[in-house]
Amino acid sequence: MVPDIQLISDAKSGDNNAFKEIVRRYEPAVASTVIGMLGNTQEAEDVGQDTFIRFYKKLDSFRGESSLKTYLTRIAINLSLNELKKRKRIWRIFSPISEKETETLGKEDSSFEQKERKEIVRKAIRKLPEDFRAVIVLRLLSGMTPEETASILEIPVGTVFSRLSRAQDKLKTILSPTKGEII
Amino acid sequence: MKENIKDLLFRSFEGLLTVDEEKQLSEALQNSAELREEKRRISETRQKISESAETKFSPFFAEKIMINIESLDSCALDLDLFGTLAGNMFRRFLLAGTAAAVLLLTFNLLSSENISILSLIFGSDVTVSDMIDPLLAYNPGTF
Repeated sequence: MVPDIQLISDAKSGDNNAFKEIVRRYEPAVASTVIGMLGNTQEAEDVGQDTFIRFYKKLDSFRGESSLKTYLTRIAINLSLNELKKRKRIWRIFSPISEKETETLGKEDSSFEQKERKEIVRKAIRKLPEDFRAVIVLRLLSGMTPEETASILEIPVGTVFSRLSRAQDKLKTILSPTKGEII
Repeated sequence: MKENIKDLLFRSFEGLLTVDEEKQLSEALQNSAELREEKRRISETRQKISESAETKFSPFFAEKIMINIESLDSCALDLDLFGTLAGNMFRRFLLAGTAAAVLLLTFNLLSSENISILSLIFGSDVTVSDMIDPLLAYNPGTF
């Protein structure tokens, strides 16, 4: 496998195939971040594209101080947060799933197919406040370490842990059916 | 359930406990079925979250990006081309104007031994003062 540094160097020299390889390699990291934050929507896809296009425009200024995955994830999460702010400005109230819907998630889940189960979990994640959602998405969906998560969000590691605990506590309540019923 | 034990439980999933804290949590887990159930639920929740990750956009995502990038590049190329053409045209005008001014001054110097362009236009005896003095002297209130 061609190392990232070589692909970046080739892309800087105008090799579009090298950049395409970067996109393919990091699509999973960007997709898990953006879709985790925004849901599987056209907006998420647009933000995903924008993430790579911004990186392309800033190729010359990329110095490799952080890994490419961290760098792209940082762009992706910032664009996602901007998108959420835009949504709020437009609609005033972002439409999370209703309380009623939340209450029934665990019960519905037991009869759902795998794909639908995933969507239920994603819906529950989108129910979280943005700050908590970002931590959950980066740590548990994108697989960033707590330190990387802290660096990307520019918050102390301790804050990452406290948000992570509170977010997991809330998700556990939403997603786990009572009395040990397996979802 | 004690908050500090719950905190230890959450932190244990991040591998952040000291030896003493691990011992404390281990004892608490042995003594509490409720805590064991809580651990199971947290573990299950984390697994569900991790499994819910969507790692693909729509098909041909990379290709769509490359099309966008190529159109960006061609747009930038068009702008560069426009800039180059405009620059070349401006340079031509600048060169032509400079050449004309030099020729005019040379002709003027040779024909009237005076470098003033005014003398070329209005005659050899006209000076800047001749042009400006009548304007300064003009007073419409004297009619």
